[in-house]
Amino acid sequence: MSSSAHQLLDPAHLAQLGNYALMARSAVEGFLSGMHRSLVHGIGTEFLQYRDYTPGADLKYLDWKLMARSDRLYTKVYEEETNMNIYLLLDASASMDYQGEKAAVSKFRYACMLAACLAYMASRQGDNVGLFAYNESLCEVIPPGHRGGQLERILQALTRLEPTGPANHAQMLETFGNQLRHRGIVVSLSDMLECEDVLPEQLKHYRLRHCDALALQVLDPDELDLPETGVMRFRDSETGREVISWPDAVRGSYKSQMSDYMATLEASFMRSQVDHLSLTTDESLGYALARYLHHREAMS
Amino acid sequence: MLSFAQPILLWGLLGLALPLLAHLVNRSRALPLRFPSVRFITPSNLPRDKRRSLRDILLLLLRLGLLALAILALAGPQWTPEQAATPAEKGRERVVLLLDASASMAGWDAWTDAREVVEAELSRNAAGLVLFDEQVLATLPPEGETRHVRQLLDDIEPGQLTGKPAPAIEAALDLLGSEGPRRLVIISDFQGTTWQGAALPAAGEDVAVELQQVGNFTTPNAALLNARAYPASEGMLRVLARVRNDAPEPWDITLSLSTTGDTQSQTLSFAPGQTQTFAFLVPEPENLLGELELQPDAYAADNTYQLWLGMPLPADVLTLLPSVDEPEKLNEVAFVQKALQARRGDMPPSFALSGAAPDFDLAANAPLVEVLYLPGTTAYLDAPQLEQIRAYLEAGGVVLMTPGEAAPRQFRLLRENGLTETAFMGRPGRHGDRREPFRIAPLQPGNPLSGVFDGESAQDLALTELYQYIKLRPSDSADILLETEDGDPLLLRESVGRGQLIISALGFDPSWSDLPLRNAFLPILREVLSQTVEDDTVVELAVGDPLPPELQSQGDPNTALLTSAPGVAALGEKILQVNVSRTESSTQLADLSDLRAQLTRESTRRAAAEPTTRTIQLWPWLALGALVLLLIESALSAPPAATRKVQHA
Repeated sequence: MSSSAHQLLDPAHLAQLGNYALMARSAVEGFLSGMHRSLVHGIGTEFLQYRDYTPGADLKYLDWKLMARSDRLYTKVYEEETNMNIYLLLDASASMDYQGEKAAVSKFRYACMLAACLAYMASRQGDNVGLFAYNESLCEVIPPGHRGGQLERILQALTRLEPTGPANHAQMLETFGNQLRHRGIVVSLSDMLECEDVLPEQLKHYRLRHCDALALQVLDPDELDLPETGVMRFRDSETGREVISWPDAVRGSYKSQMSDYMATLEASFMRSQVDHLSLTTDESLGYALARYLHHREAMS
Repeated sequence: MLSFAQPILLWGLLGLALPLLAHLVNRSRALPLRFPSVRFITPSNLPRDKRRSLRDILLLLLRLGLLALAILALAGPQWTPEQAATPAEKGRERVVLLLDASASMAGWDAWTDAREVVEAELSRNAAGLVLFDEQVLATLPPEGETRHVRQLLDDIEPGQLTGKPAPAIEAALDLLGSEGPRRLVIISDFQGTTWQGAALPAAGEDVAVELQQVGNFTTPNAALLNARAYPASEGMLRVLARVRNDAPEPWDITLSLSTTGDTQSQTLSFAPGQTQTFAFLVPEPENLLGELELQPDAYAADNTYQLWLGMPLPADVLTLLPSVDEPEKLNEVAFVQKALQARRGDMPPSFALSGAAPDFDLAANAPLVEVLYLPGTTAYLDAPQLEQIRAYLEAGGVVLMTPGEAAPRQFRLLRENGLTETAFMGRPGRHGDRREPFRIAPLQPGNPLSGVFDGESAQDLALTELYQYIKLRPSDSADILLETEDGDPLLLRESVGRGQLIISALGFDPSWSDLPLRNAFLPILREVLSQTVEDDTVVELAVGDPLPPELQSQGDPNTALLTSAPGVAALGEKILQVNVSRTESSTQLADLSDLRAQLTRESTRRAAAEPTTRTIQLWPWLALGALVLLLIESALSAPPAATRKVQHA
């Protein structure tokens, strides 16, 4: 990826773009600009263009009427309609609403930007894309689709979302799993706090339904090593529990426990054969997009 | 010695407790922070960072110092070096008596009262004295002996000059000096004409100013304001004298006119504050001098009036001929001409009449015209011509105007050009019996024409038949000379600038009345004009006034002494008539509280004149110190580069 493309995927840069449509288009087009990837052309119902006939091409796509009129051979090219579904699971709990001093955007905003980019990319590739946002209940559900402003619906839903309340991963992911019908890729966007037992297990179930799963964990840099401030009264965003502590005094033990937790979570995802990628909100969106493309290639 | 300009601001030092409290409160407070999860955060002990505490204490001290310096600077500290006590400070209070010796102090027992006040002060303290009228008459310093003050007062009496207190106050303040306790006692009758509106120097707040008002202005007084003589018929002179009753109750006032070998007296009843005109008819005396004298009252200086009783030169009357649209006005001009130019062997010619077209250049010839006669002409003049007439009036000219056919336009133009406020109100309805004409009301005592008509002449005037006239609403300042029995003004006179405008509601020809055919016409016209036209041979001055420049060049330097006392003197072609200024007759008092406020306001002059008292202002140094502390505090309290802010709930 070129340096300019890399800058385009910087969250600090993208956060300056007001709406998700512009942001997603800017990020994804920039990301794909050096890859020469194009739409999957082939069998489908949606006519795309004519192409000169080359020997060996399937004769059923030859346009006989055009040949009769112009005495030249053309084959019809259709936009391929795949059966690939992309499910975006977005955690909209209160813990996602945090932005430390080092980050350009909050965790939730970062996750929404990721979701927007993935939706744009999937839509550009002709995949069906859907959104399932939740906290302790369902917030937004947009079933996978391809045409008719599906992308706009998803982007508008992302704009509407506000992170509040605790997250009920177990029940919500089970609810989502019940309506999972077709093969596809499930992308989970969450900070995955206090759910190291639930989330890998649920995503594992999706694999049994011929779905690939990708767990994108979004964290703030402060969550890895605590903010550098004086004595603070920390209040848990979801439970409201308060702890008065001096970060400098507990930073060592905190980082140790956090590291253990991340290792545990990584191990759980590995056992569940779910690809896990941990991102902080000051990192480029490109890592996540690349990982997604990897899965998309593997599924096709 | 340290002192503060605003010591009350020192209470602000209590505000030093605020940074102290702020530091104490901040030390024990933990900032709240919403965090995604507190699962791995354990409670900890509060930090014990010695370096941080030291910095906090330094910051606290800096802030306390900053606040204290700012408050002290605002309180205006000043340092006055210790000085040895001056003799004035060691001694008693310095007192200067400022005594008014203007003419009015001779009346209303004011001088007697003033002597008593001075004596009372001298019995308590040694005091200096400043005596003044138009100028400072004498100054005695407070260190002198009191017998000198008494001796001076025995020698000097109030003069005949007006009072000008400002130079005397300056002199008194100079005598008081600038140190120690000082008191200025002003003894005066505090007449409004002397004190009100005078630009008095400020004594400053550190000089005690005491105002002692003397004189009893409730004592009845009548003031002889002015007088003048002009020729009457049969070689006689008519003397008109204006007298004002300043007594608070009605009063019968007697005025006497003394000439060589002859004295006449008249008595009129005056209401409080009323001004009336006495009229005397006397033969021309041999020495051409006369003296008017009122009965004795509270203030003697305004009871006499020295008067020249000579015949004036004929006055030039210019007629601006009426429009060709009103040929009948030429008839009126003929009657007026005959009346003004009538001569008899025993009567000198008083008026010389000439005529001019309406486009006459009045501005160029104004000094040659003493009376401008407008027989209905004003209706046909344009704005520049009316402007010329206004300028002529304001410069002291006299205008006589009569109504014509276009009387409404006449008065509208006069009002629009600021010549008069008198308004045309229409023409009166005729009586039911058309044979019954309008009549002139009898003249009331005090009317300037009342002395002219008595006996048969008054009867002749009363029998005058008026066939028509115009109704006028006179301006507030107009004098009504003649009116109808219904109270409508027929002849009125009002002042415009220094001049006089005489307005007649009658045309002076037989179509308006039979007045031009009667004997009363000539005396009315000549008396009214004679009373109004200034006799420029007589120069009236107040005692002490400087001579006009044109007269100074005519005589020797000793002519300045001519105005030092009342009297009449011939100076070349001019007659000098000197009397005591009538401004000293006023019984209106100045507002003493205003005077005290004006005298005790902050004196910049006195402060500038005290170079020996050197006070050092300390606030700039304190402000500089506060600025330095502010800079250090800003540098110390700035967050280090590594410090991060957090998002607070």
